[in-house]
Amino acid sequence: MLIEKARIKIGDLKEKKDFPFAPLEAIGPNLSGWGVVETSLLLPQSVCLMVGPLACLRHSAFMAHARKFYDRFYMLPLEEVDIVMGKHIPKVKAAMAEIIKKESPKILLLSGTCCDHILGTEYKEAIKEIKEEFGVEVIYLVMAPLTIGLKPSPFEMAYTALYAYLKDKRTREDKKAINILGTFLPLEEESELYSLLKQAGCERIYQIPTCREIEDLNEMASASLNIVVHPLGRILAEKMKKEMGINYVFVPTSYDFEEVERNYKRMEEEFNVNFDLASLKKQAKEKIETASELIKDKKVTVGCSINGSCFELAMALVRYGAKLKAIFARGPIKSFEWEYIKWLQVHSPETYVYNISHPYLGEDLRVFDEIEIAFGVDAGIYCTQAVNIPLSRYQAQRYGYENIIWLFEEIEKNLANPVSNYDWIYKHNLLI
Amino acid sequence: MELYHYLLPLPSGYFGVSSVLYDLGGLVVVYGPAGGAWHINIEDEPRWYRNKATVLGAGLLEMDVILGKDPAFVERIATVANDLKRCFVAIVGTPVSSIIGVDLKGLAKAVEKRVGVPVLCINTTGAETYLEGAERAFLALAKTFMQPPTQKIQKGINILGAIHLDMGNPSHLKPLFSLIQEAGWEVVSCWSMGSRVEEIKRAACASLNLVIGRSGLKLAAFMYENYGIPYIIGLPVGEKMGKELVQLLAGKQTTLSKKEGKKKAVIIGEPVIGYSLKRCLQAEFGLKAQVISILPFDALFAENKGCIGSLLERDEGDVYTTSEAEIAALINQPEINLIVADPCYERLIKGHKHFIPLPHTAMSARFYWEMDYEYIGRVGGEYLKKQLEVVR
Repeated sequence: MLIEKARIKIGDLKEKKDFPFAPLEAIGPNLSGWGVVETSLLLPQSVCLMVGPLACLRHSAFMAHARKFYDRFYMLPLEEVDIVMGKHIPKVKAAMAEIIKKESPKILLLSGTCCDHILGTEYKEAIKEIKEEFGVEVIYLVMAPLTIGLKPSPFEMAYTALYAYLKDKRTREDKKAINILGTFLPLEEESELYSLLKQAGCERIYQIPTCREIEDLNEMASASLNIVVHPLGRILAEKMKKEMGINYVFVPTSYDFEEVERNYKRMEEEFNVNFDLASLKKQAKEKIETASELIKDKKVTVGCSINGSCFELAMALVRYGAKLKAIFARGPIKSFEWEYIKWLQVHSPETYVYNISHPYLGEDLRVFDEIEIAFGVDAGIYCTQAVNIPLSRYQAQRYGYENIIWLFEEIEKNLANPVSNYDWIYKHNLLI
Repeated sequence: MELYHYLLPLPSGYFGVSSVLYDLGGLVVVYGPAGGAWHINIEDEPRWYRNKATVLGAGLLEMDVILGKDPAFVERIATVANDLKRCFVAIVGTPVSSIIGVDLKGLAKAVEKRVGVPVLCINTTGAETYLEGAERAFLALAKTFMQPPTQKIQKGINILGAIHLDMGNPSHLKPLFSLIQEAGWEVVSCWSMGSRVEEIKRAACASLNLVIGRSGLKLAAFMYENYGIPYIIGLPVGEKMGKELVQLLAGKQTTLSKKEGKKKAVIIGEPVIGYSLKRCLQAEFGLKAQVISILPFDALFAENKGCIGSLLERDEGDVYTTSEAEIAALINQPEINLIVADPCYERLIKGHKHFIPLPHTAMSARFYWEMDYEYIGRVGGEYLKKQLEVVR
């Protein structure tokens, strides 16, 4: 069966090279990273100008329209010959000037594409001139799928673009301020993590998506700690640690009770406090007790479009009583995920790990007919008979025990009123 | 300065290639980073959903580009083509393959030696419009697969220029098929929505071609030159144009009486559809209309050898432009009362204008794929009538 080439039993997945190799790429934009332009536009009072061939611009334009941020997004189509000869730079400069005059942004994000990446286009001079003429911060980033799978990935590069802005802004350390890095939709003020951080003495908590003014963004440079809840924020945190002296703790969004406990333990050590977790734990335990019946012995799969690690969620689901049949992953597997894989090798060794971008995956979907619940829109594409639960970063951002409760609430809601995978993709635009 | 802000940039060449080849049971390899194929599948090609792999990305990475690992990709493409047993392979270029100067022809030849099916090389760059990609793909298909006719089908017709980027959901073509069949004609092939390679192979048996999209014009000329098949240009919108098409199929020239009122409409989109709508608005609803074509249209009105009839008539005011600023200026002229266009263009309107939504996949990708609208035949006329009643 062709499908055998697209999968491996998790028991046999010992190292990076064991992950099934996709000779050509089938699908993927939902995978692991975030939209480059969308991520960069998390910066407040910013507009983005993307420059490149028509083909590259259309994708970002589609996302801008699907997510309705096109009012802050401009595109300048360029001919390859101009890019190769460097003739496009005056055009790009003129476009930057035109947009700044029209929109008066505080930050202009200039985004190049693979073409600029390959040719090493040098926009420094044009950017310097624009900064001098208009007094606007200009940050250059690149949307280069050529670098997918590399470190940093294009998504990490986009997120890390913030560093270019922050690096000169640290003039003091605010002991009562911390940053949460890696949120797309923000954690709410009333959330569990906020209340615990306040218990720990954090009076000012910053997230990029909650910065309304550029002044809020400036304050992020003064923080005393970065809490990284998604791997995407890790490179930025590393840079801020190395160059600005801001320490960080990596505590990724988790669905498993023990993992949540472990993350809070790390934070307690960092702040040298004991969080009051008793009632939060109780609520989560009660939810697990009442709702885990819904997935007990159910055949489930997990895709990598969920908010979090597909391996971590897979581990959590096995612990909550589900029968884990498959994980749809995309390489390279992140270093912190191997720990979950090792656990699954012992407790669910027959689970298959599929390369989500493998071209043979769609050849015979009957393989997945037994699946009852598919977590992640990407898993839902293949599991045609399953109830699809997206757990998408475009739906909500939860953390800690609240994230476990959210998981079960989503299970309850979707089992009671299923939404088709088609509708999640084509009506709710959860797959871009 | 051609800045895009409220509109999406048009699909580029390899999107056009994909649109032509998608239904034919082949494998289309977009020779660039993974993103190229993803964009097509997820955004522009709803036929992708839960179907077998058709458009795949080569998945070039930085080091592949720097080191030029083409031989490795030849093996990969051949492996997948052989495993998936598709009836052809097409290799199409992207901005990356263009910039680094990949020898796509050589690559295609090397793949062809390793697979037992034809390999089409379509050298797009990602900077041209989808029209160019679609035209090249149609010609590549014709040159590769069309066979001399064993027997002519007297009332056999091919439909040319049917690409989903212009026509939208394939269901919109049903009224056209019905009209042709009711007129006693047999559709030999449809290039290329709904047809398979077998039908493409026997297309030369047809005695007439109907060009319903700008992308089919070069193919029509090719078929006339090589197989002597004449063609008609246009899409019947509304009952009157339906009858007109039937007359043309019967070899009779017709003129449609047009009423012209004071109201002025603008139609934005693909030119064959745009001009056909214009004719319908004039003939059935007494509206003066101007076409803003997002593809070049001069060739539709040139002295075309083999063209034996057309439903299209141009006026001086009709323009070809893809400029967002120019389109905005044109539709906001005070004398314009009505705009018929993809919903994305509505964002360009300042003040109040009547707007009839007519999705164009080449503009809005899959956003309106399932919207309830029609533009061909009697149901197309009814849709316009209903919309006009709303706006009046």
